[in-house]
Amino acid sequence: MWAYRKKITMSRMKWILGPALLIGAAYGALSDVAPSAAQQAGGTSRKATGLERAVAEPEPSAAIRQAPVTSTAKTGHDAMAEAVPQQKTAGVQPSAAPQNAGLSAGSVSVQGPVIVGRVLYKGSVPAPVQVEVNRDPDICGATMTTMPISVDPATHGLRNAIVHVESGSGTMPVEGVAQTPAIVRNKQCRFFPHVGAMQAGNDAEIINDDPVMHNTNMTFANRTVLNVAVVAGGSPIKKPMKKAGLHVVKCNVHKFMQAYRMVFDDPFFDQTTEAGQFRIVGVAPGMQTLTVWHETLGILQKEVQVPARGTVVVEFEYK
Amino acid sequence: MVSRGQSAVLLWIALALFGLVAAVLPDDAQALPAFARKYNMNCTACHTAPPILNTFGQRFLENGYQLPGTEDGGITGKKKLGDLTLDDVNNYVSFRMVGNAVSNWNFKQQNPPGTDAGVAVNKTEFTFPESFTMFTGGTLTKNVGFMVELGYDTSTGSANVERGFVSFNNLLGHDVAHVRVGRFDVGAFYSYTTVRQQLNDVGESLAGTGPNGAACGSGTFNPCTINRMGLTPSALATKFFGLYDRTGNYLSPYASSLFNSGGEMGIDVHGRPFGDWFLYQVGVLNGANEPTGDSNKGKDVYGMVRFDYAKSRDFSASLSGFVYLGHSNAKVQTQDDVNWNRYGVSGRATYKMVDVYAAFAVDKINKTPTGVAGQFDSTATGLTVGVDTYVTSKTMVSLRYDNLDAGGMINERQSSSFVGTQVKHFLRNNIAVFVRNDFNLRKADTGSTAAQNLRNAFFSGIDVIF
Amino acid sequence: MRFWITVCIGAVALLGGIGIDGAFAVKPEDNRATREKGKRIYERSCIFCHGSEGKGDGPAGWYLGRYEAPRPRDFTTESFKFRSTASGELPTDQDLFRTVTQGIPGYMPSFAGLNEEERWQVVSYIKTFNPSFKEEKPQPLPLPLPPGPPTDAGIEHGRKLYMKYGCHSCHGDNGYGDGSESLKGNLKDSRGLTISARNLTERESLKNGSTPRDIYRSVMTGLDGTPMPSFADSFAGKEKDAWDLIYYILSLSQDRR
Repeated sequence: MWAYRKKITMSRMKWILGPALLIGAAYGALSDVAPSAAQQAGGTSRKATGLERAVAEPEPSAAIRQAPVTSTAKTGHDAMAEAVPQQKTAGVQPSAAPQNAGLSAGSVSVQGPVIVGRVLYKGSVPAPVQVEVNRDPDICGATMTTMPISVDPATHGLRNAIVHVESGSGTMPVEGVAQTPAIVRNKQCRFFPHVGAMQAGNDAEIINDDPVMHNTNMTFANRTVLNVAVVAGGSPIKKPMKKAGLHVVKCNVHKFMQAYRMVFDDPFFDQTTEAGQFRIVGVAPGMQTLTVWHETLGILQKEVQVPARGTVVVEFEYK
Repeated sequence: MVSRGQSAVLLWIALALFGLVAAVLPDDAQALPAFARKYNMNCTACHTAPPILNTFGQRFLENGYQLPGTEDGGITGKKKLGDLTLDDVNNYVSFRMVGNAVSNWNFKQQNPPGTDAGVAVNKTEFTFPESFTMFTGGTLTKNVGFMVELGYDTSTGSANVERGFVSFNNLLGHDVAHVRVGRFDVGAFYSYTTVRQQLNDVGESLAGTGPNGAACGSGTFNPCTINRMGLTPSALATKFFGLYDRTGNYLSPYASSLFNSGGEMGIDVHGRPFGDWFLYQVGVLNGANEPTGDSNKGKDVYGMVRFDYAKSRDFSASLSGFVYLGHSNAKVQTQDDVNWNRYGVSGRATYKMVDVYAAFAVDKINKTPTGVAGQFDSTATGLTVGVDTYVTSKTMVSLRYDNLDAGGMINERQSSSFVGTQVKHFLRNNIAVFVRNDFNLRKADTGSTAAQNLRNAFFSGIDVIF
Repeated sequence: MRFWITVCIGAVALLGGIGIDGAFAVKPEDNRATREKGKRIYERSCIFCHGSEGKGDGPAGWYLGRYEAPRPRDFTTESFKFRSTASGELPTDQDLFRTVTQGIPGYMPSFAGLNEEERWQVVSYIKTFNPSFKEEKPQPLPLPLPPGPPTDAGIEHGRKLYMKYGCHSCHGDNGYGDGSESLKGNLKDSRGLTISARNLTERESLKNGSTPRDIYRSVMTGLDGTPMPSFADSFAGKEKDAWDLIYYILSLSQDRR
């Protein structure tokens, strides 16, 4: 029974990630990033019975291994973080962010158990990836860097990983599900936020702050979810996100633009903060499978015994 | 006559020209031959690797130039001839021009014997185009198709109706029976077809005549000296040395013949009555008796079955086998008529851009005439194996192996094994330039035997269909 | 020889008259029998490119684009390019019927040789490949008639919109399909294959149709699976602008239709 459930979960993640990342690799827009992601997706999907092992012993690309941790490593990411405030996801934001492993449930009063934890990455952080700006340098900037792996140097917390309770059943968190539209903002030829998670049924709101035309092309596996032109000065476009899965966001006018939106059928997910923290409430007690996704590091999974009340602490580490 | 050094220079010039032409010409595909024009389609819909047909093209051909599963001749061929405008002619007429602009033959010894004895020689020829064909085809109305092909061979200077037939399709129900009447390719539905080869047919050279030996031995029952062997796929070739038709014309061992002949007069029925997986074909031909006008002497009959897999996963495969029974269709020198039969199997598999095919045939003469007892081998076999693959979206590499275990007069016959390689670059979908080399695997000898003293042949040419 | 021809012609004359065309061909009810009939036609006509499982992996299909786009549609999971519906939606039955009937210039022949009922049967069968057809109810976007004939000022305005809305990035400043993104090979379809922008001066090569309303539909719905986005939101409430753009595109064309 156990093995059966695990298999379903993994095959589902493989389905979601495999095609999307492979397409990403083919685009070659982030030439250093995408292949390593594809490699990881390939690695995890091949080892159907050893997903944890495959991810726990990742084979980062040479670029990742050799890249020294430099003081400039955070700049690209900071620019992104500051440009747009962290978007409120449909899940519950960890309002009182726990600082270390001695975590508490925080100040929010909830019914039922709380899962809190951190996602860590202690490996060497690759230098920012220089992306070729082949169009509109006056708007997009002459150079552009991306920083797929963003780690808090003090705590090794990994930002922009998405944690989800796979089995999904549970009681709704008392706060309810935020119905804020998930924003896809085109600004200086970047998508903000770079990674986001939302619940199916909510709207994605596409905004263009740039004085050039963009198109926002969201695909899930090989199906187009939406591909809309967002002309300069146009009104925001709202479209409901109907299906769960990893959505890759691209702009075909500017091939270097790329982002991710993870859509879930349930509200039991969270996106890690800059310190790598997450917090999920309202999950049903019992044995639950937690899955972490990161755009280049891949997938990790853990079985967690969720108590009827109180807090359970989970720590993931990408190696 | 050029020396080896000069020959190498020529070769490099040819290669450089090839590269230059490939680099300079635009590579968008807008020009389309007739069927493509008629259906507003890209040539590659039917010809993955022109001129070879893919499964879609094969079913289109079988259906009498109507889209598979349809009887659209009623729509696409509905114009009466008198209503045709000049624009419509586009939809019916095509041209093909193909030839080796440069060919270089490298012999251990040049034939005839005595010439340059013991000296390795090269011979470079400029010949272009070697053949020019105009063909018109299509549908006259629902389920009635036609094809007329006029060919002009520049080396012999002769123009012929190569093919011309009418087809009546979908008799008794869809795909149950299609009938062709006229001069048609018998082996058009075989897994390895005669007229659609990646490595063009290169004819033999017979002594004292033009390259195709038109006059040699005609009506005289005199054996021809083969100066240079032909590079026909061995499985399709005549394979016998010392064989004549009933009027004494020498039958070249390298020419395609019988079931694999280019165009034969007769009637033929084929169909897929049980679904796509199985095709049958039966027919009757005037056969070798046609030139004599003695058509009551006996007709040739044949039957073929073919099994297909063409469903999914970018994969297709087919396996075919035929029996061709000739009746008084040859003579061994001036002896009695013999029945010359052929039994063949061929297979083909395609996966994405890779196309693998093979054909094997056994030719048998039903009896050895008493006058040549002990001097004549009445069995011959030919094997051809090939693979074509695109290495880019425009460049195709082909490899073909041929082995001929020749039969016929034991003192004349020569077996041969050749490996041909070709690189073909499609400037457009319908214009290709190619370089090709055929290498003799058997040890090159001095002497007069063409098969064994040709060491290597190099070609560079162009193939245009419009 | 003559004998055989006579026999043949006689046989044709006898057999040709057997089939009687259905005189009341209408869209059949989408039931099991219809789908079964559609399957039989599909397996004779469509399978060579679209494959027996509708995955676009028929044995002849790979060759259409060789190593470039487009490939035959994968009916099971992919988007559909030629729709009257919003971006991300499935096509309507009529959209599928139109593609089967008209074909796609350069890539798919017109199957008008199948009669209307047969084409509807094929449409029913195609929809079985993707379970979403059971769940989703695609609705066509409005496809209005033009507000009036083209005017000089309108075409002039269309040209400005053509530049403002970034059409030139892919289709080129003069509509030759030679925009920088297309020329550089930056445009990819949903399979990651290089795809090129259409030459708007050759209207009859436009895959989603070449009439003014066809072009309007393409602009509004976008061609899912390709880089061509939907402009429906950009033109919302500004249909007159959209027609100005369409008339400008038409003015570029050398085709007279």
